[in-house]
Amino acid sequence: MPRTALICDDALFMRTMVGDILQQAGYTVVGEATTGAEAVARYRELRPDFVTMDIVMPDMGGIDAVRAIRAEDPGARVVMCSAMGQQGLVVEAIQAGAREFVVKPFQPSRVLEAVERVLA
Amino acid sequence: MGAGRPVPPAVALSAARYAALFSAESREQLVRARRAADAADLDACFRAVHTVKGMAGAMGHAGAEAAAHAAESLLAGWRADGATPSADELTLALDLLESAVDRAASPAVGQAPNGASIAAATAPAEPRTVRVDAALLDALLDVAGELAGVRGRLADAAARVGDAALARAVSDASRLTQQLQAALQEARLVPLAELFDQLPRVVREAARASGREVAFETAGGDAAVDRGVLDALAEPLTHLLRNAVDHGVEPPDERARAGKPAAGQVRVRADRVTGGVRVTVADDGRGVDRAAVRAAAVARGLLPPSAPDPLDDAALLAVLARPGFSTAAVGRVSGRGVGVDAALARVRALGGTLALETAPGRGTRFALTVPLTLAVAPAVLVTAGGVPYAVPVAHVRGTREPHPGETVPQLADLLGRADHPADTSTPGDVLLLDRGARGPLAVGVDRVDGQRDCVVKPVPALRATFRTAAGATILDGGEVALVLDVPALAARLSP
Repeated sequence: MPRTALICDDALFMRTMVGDILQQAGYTVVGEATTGAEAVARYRELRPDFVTMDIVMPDMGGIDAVRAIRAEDPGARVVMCSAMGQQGLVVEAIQAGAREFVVKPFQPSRVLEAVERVLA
Repeated sequence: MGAGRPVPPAVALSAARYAALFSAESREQLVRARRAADAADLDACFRAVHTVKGMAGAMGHAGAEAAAHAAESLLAGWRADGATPSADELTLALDLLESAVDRAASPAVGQAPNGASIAAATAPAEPRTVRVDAALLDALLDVAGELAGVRGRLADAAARVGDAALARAVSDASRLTQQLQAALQEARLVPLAELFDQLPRVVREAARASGREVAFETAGGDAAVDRGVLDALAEPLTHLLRNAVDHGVEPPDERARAGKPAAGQVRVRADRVTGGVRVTVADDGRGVDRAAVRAAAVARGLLPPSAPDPLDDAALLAVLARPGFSTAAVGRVSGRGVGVDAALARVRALGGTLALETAPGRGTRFALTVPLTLAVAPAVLVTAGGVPYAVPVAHVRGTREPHPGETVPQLADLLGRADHPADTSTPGDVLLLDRGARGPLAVGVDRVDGQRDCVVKPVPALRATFRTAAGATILDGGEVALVLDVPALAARLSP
C-alpha cells in the first residue's frame, strides 16, 4: 500500500512542487495545509505516514506545529523544509521532533532521501 | 482554510506550469505584503516576502530572490529592534521586489525549477544606502552576540520551567535574535573589489623590482565578505601575488625561449562557494620545482629521504608552509618564495583553507577559501566521552536516536581522545555530519545538549594538537568547548 503524506506550506507553488516529487516516487498525498494550525488539525484527521513541514507559515509556524503534532502522536514522522538562511532554526526543529530536514530550493533526490529515512 | 487542492495525478515537473504558478502566486504574495505593510503587520509582511523568496529560489530567479532577501532583511531588522518601520523604506523594498518579480516572471526568463542558467537581466536595482561608521556596526554586532548568549541561557531556564507561553516567547526571541545577527552581519559585508582595487599597485611594484612583465587582472570583485575577512585577506593575498610575480613568472627572455608571451599572466579571482568565498591567485609561470623543494626539505630534515618522489601538491604545500622554510635560499630556486607560511597562518586563523596546484612550465595556482563572516555561528552542542564539543550547524545534517541494534563510530573515538573514551552505557544520540556529495556521516555521541550561537575563537595552538578543531568557544558555564572542524574530520576518516 502506498505511503501517505500531508504537505504543509503556505505557498501553493511549494505544495505543488513537493506533491509532484512525492507522487512521482509513488507516495500518495492525502492532504495539504497552509498554516501551522491547519497542519495540526489535518494531521489529527488524516494520520498520514509522514508530513513535510515548512518553517515559516502564518497562524502558528512550522516548528510549533511539529511540537503540537508530536505531543499528540509521539511517533509522527516529520520532514522539515527550510529556506536558505534558516539553518539556525533547523536544529530547533529537530529538537521539536522533526526527524529530517531539507533546504529549499528543493532537489527532488534530497526530498526523497529524507522521506525514505523518516519512513525507515 | 479548506481541505487544500484536489490531489492531481502524477505529472512531470512542467516548466510552464511552475512559471505560471510563480507569476500568479508571487504577485498575490506581493499584494498581501503591501496590505500587511499598510496595516503595520510586519510578521505577515515578512512571511509573504519570505514565500516569494522561496519560490524565486526554486525557480532559479536570482534577481527576485536577492530582492526578496533584501526586503526580508529590512523587515528582520525592524522586527528585531521593535522600531516603527519607515513606510517609505518598506514601500521602496517592496517596489524593488515587485519589479524583480515582474522581470523574473516575464516569458523571456521563465525557466524550470532549479534551472541552471539565470537571466542576467534580473539583477535588482541599486538599493538605497546610508553610510554608517564600521565601529558602530561592530558594537551592534557585539551586543547581538551577547544577546544570543543570553537567549541560550533563557532557553535553558525556560525548558526547566516548562511553561508553554514562556517557551513560545523564548522561541520568538531566538528567531528575532538570529534575524538581528543575520541583518547586522549582512550590513558588514563589503565587496572584495575594495581590496582587489589595490592589488594592481602591488603587482606593478613587484614587477618593477624583479624586472618582470606582467599582465594582471581580477574578476569576481562583486562578491561580498565581512569587513574583518576583507582586512585579514589583504596580507596573504599580497604575499601570494608578490610570489607569483617574483618567483612564478619567468624573466622575459626565459619566457621567450619557452614560447610564451613576454608578459606573464597573473589573475586573482573570487568565487562564491558553499559557506564562503574562494580567492585564487594564478600565474602562468614556471611552476614550483618539486624536485628542488623535495631535495631542500630532505637536506634540512623536514622530510625523510624515503618521502614520495615527486611530491604531490598537498605535500608540496605542507613543505612550503613550514615556518621559515621558504624564506631560506631555496625560495629563489624553487620558484616559490617568501610568505606561504604567513599566508597559511592567516587563512587558518580565519577558519579557512589554502590549496596549491602547480604544473611545471604551466604555472601555479593558490586557492584561499575563507568564510564570508566571522562573528557568531550557530553550533550544535554535544557531549562525547564526557567532553563538550560545538559542531557548526552548517556542517550538521541532523540528529536522531540510534536505530535498534545500530552501531556507529563514536565521535570520542574518532577524535582519538583516549583519555575520554566514549560512554557506551547509554544508547546516546546519533549526529549526522554533512560531507557534501558524499552523504552524511553518522557518528555517535553521549548526548546532544542543544544549540547555541557560538563565538568561535581561532586557537592555532589547539589546531596543532587537534587537527580536527576549528577553534574553541566558551560555553555559558564558562567551560571551553572545542569547535569541531567537520571537513578536516571527514577528510581524515576517508581521505
